[in-house]
Amino acid sequence: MLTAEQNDRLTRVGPGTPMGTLLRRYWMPVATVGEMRDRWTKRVRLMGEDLVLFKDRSSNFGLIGEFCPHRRASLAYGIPEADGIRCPYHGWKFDGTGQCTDQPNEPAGSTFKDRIKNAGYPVSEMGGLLWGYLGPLPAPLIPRLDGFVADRAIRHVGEAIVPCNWLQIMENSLDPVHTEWLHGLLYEFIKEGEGVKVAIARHHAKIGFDEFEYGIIKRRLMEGQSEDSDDWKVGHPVVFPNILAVGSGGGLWQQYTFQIRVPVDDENTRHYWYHAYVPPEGAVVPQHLLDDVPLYEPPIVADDGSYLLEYIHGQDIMAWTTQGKIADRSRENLGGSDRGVTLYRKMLEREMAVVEAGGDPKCIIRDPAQNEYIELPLERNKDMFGDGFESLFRRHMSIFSPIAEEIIAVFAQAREARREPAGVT
Amino acid sequence: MVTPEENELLTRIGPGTRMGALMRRYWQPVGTTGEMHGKPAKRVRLLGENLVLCRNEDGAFALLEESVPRGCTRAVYPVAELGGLLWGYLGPLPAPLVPQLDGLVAEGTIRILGSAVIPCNWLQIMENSLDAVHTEWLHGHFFEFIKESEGLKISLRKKHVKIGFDEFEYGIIKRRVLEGHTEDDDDWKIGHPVVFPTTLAIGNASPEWHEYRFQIRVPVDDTHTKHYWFGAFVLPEGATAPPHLLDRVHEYETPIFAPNGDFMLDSIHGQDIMAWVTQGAIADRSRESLGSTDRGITLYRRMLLRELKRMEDGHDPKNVIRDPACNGVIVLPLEGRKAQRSDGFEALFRRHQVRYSPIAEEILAVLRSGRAPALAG
Repeated sequence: MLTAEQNDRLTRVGPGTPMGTLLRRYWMPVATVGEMRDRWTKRVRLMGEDLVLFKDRSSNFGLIGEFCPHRRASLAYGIPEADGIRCPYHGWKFDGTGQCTDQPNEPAGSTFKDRIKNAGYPVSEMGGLLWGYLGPLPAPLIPRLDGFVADRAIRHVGEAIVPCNWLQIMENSLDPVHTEWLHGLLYEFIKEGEGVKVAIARHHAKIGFDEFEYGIIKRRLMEGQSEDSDDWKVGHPVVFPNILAVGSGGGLWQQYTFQIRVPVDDENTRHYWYHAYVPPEGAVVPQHLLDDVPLYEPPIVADDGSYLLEYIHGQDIMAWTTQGKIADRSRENLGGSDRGVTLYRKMLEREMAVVEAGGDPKCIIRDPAQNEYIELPLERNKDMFGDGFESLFRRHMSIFSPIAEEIIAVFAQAREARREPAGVT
Repeated sequence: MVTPEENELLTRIGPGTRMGALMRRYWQPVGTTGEMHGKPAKRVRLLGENLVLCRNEDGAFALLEESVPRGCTRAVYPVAELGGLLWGYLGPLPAPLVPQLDGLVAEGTIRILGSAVIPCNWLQIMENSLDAVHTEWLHGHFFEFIKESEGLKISLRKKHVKIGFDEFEYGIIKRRVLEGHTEDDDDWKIGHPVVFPTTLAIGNASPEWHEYRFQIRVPVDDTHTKHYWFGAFVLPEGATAPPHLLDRVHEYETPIFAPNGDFMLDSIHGQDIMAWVTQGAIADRSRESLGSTDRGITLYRRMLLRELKRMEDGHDPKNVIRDPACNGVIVLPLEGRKAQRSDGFEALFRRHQVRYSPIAEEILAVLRSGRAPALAG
């Protein structure tokens, strides 16, 4: 339980807030590279700031305040130039730093433009995503986490705006036990309503949390599992501050999953589900699957507005959004299984203090040698995913991806080639 | 740049606000006589008040407060008719006269009236009309950019060499000289006016093409504006029009959003509306940075504040006319040969929101039937 003031301090991300100041130290994904291929601008609301991601005619990206400082028309309709973008209303031109570089109808020699500065933030590409950085310069490096840069990987990314504060979504990732209920017994109950009997819930015998260099490793031991299982021995991490990384695989292949929670504002979160699949050796992968990172929008509610409770992501989103726009932590009652949540909150408080004292908080990387390839501790043989690639894939929101069937086909072909029965890949 | 308090003062027009009191001194269009044929009543939201336009026992139109708390008297506001339009007056009685602007009362014209509710405050729409340079960009370079993505190359841009603003009896005259033109051109010599407080008059006066055009911005509430596009086409010499074109004002709804919800960026009015709406429900003028081309806007804001003060000092503000002898036809300055219209009438007609009028093709046919060589453009 927190006080109302503590809850505000942990959740609010607008300019000038303590948590907004901490989160501005981290690069945040704002678009995919593919998304910007056929367009010049995209509106991006990020941590309460209305911004426009633009591409100039030299294919450089910029991230600047949406509203022209002149008379506040939207630069989302801007006219791109070789080295910046012009407001559609009166042609004022801005470069990627937000500096006004031309006011075509002011008198020659006027210095008015030199005094006009819009917000402007660096943009950089990594893993097929475009990342923006709203913090103080010089900007750190974008952590090259394994799944973003692994060789021979097929990638795609799902995106949804979840209408609640980012912190309750993150806390879900420090809460192993919820899978037993929300994705287990609730799912069984939902299926019961459809007249189908399933039994997937397994009891947590033990949970554990350890801080490591890049965040927190979360571990679980299910009833009947040994401590030698990857779920306990390896676990999977929350990469500080806002990425959940889950791995799975069968030894011959590897899947990387990142759930990236990008605060739009205090009450909305842009949720990315980023997947990278490294198929088994010898799999035949069409080149276009390796070249592009397609973006798709999985549905998060049904046509009638109800939650999609047959899907894991739909179950999560039901829990997150029913907690309220900003969950009221002054009215919660934490139990023994919530100590991962508490550990994460303490870490946030600690890192806010580091920033306030002028230091670099956790997971800020400035040395390129440290950033070539960050291999995270990830399960390889994950118990929950024991029934094989295709079966898992079809239960998952990835099935909404435009390349879903192609990915399944790649794995099916690889299995055929190895003459292995289904479910053992 | 103005303070947040000044911005509030300038923009808010609900009951009890100061700018609302000034706006209530002017007749505002609320409908047409044509649309009320066979219709008992119509809801009208005006200056933040919910009203009903209907006929009283004598058959005359009136505006009634839509709902009244128990024990209160229902407010009734006068309605007048001019030029086929119905005008309502929400100010203190006695009401002044409805100004007889030339285009409203010209004889024998084909009249059309487009309308749309724009989801933003009225003032940013008016300021656009005091902003000569925006046409070069919003309707020039930006139009070219939109067409570029369609694979077309067009050129509408012409640089402004000079702009000018002069107060006159009825408002402000806006002038421009575009590159390649001179002060002898109508764009500068005549210019076109903003009729105080909320009407832009921009028509065309030449023998082959004589049209009055008014854009009337009626504040619905602080964050919505009913925008009327009124056009009156004078028949060219030798042309005739079937009676049904002449006997009433032809109304239509002007679409302002594409089916996908985006702005209609390949039209002049759609470009304007994009600029107005993206400035915000009420543009935040405490965060603007006005340049030298914005002096028409500054002049207009000063005029609003000056007339507000005059009213608060107990006088009639600008353009409030009470003496019938002074309310003859108000002949507004009207340009003939505009540089921005050099590609001809028909091309312009089709770029403009007039094209949504159900009688657009009939109008073109009538105008072509006269001795009108320039219409071939």
